[in-house]
Amino acid sequence: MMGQFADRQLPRSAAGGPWGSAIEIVDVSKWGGAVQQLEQRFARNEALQLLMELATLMRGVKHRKKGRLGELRLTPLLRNVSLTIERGSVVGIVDVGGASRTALLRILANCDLPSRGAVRFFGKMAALQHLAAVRLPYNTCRQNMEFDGRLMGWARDDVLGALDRLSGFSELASKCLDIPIRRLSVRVIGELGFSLLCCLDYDILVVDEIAYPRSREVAANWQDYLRRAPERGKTVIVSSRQLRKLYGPCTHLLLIKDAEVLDYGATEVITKRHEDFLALAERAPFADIVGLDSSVEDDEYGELA
Amino acid sequence: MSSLAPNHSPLRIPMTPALVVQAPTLNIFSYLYRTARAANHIPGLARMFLTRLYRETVLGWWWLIFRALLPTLGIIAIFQHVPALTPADLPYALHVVSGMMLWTVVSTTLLHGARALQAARRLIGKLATPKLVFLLASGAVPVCFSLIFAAVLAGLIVFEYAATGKVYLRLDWPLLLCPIPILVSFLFCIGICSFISVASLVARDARYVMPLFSQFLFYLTPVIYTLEIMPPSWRLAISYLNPLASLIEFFRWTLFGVGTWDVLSLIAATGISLGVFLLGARFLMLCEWAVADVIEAGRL
Repeated sequence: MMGQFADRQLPRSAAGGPWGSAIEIVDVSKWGGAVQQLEQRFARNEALQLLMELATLMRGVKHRKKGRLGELRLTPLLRNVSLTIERGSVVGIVDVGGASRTALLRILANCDLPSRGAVRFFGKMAALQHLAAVRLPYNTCRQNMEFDGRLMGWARDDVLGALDRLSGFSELASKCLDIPIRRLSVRVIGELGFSLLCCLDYDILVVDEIAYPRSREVAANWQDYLRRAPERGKTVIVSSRQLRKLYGPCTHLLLIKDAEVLDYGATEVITKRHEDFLALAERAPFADIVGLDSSVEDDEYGELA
Repeated sequence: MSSLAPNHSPLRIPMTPALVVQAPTLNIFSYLYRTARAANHIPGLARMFLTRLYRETVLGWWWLIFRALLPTLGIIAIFQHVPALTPADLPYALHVVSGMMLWTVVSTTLLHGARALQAARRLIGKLATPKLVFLLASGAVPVCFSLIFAAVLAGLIVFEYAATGKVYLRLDWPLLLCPIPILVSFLFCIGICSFISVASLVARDARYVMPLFSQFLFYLTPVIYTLEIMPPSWRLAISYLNPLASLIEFFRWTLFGVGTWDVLSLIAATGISLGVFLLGARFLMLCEWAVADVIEAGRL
């Protein structure tokens, strides 16, 4: 079953890529929210809640066998998502709310498995979510990065090469490489990890937040990376809670509505065709409360403390 | 400006997928195959478990040696004076050390395997691999313990040769079979840990159950005694119901040529061990969908 695109080819961008497909998403679906339902039902008694969670795990085992996941009333986060992402595309993912976007990004970053379907990557993939998987506080940043890379299955030579190239991407990050990680702030560690990711120079890069606060040097190099990605055949999957920041660097946009793919194509075409949907997505729920209102023009790249 | 080295060649287009992220499978053999394909993560995970073992301690890796040897020395020092426990054809020290070599694999696997998912909870949210990989990687700790005991055993054999002129180690083809009981008992423990590690994600009682279970199992396994001291009915029950009993006796037979075992009990032990492992792997496979959800919800 190929989902809604069963009777025609997987949707590709009109422009097409010169080097073939980088990612094939085949009939991916994802459901979630089991534990949250239990918490709502048994919030008062912790011991009972724990027992019910254990029992639900066991029941879930039984239901999984018989295919009755619906009994838990799970929330559909993705439904029959099928498409092909061409090599050399910078794809921005847009949805209303963020749950479907997060679910898809986690699947593309190999942090989570789909409930159904498969994603095939034609090339080496690295994701921002992979960083800081393990933090060894008394080891240096260099040792932590090597360790992270080994855990994620990155080739050791690739990681060492990226560490050598780090000074060209972020001078600050390269200076912090041999400092014990516990002595650095979270922002410096984040910048270091992000710089390593860009210097790793893998075929596919997944970044869940394009507008993460970075220093001006790293922000400029990141913009340059995104600009040169199509000509170098790099595929970048990005998203942001501030959606307007996606329109500039992205060559393609993937719109998700009600857990299904609404449209996928070149940014210029999609922004004209789905103005209403994009306006709705920009008005993210609770944005005014948490301070992520996209309509506010803020400083694009914050200074590093 | 970026100075990234342009190491991408446009001609290098992979035709087969380098990575496939698929929905969890309901076929145990497919699950084991995916676990084998994800085996490249095991060395990194094993290193993580080992690095965390004695961090922020003064003695560091010396704890490994003390924890391995001190209980053994105590057992040898006290129980060598109990005639009923000492075997007739093997020095008691060799009997105990060889038993403890396999028993330590069992006890540390039960202890660390049951906590493997909890210890790697940050990783589970960042890496979608079969959860069995984490349990298998926790086997790095028992491997370290068994290497220590192997070194002590070698030293004892040399000591006995120097003292008595007798070589107790059997230099024959059965010696090549000695890793098999260790591997089978490891798989048995991984099977048990599969259930306990998932339960420990939602209920901390599981971490208190394992030491009790381990202690109970220790008394039922002929580590510090021989099966011959047991009444025949007990001997039969222990041999067939406790897979570790036959495996330890077989292990001693491969090393020294002494041991109370028979083919049927060994087949039963191997069958039970592999059966428990497959049941545990199947349980993990069916729980794949829930483990990440429970960890995401912050139940730890």
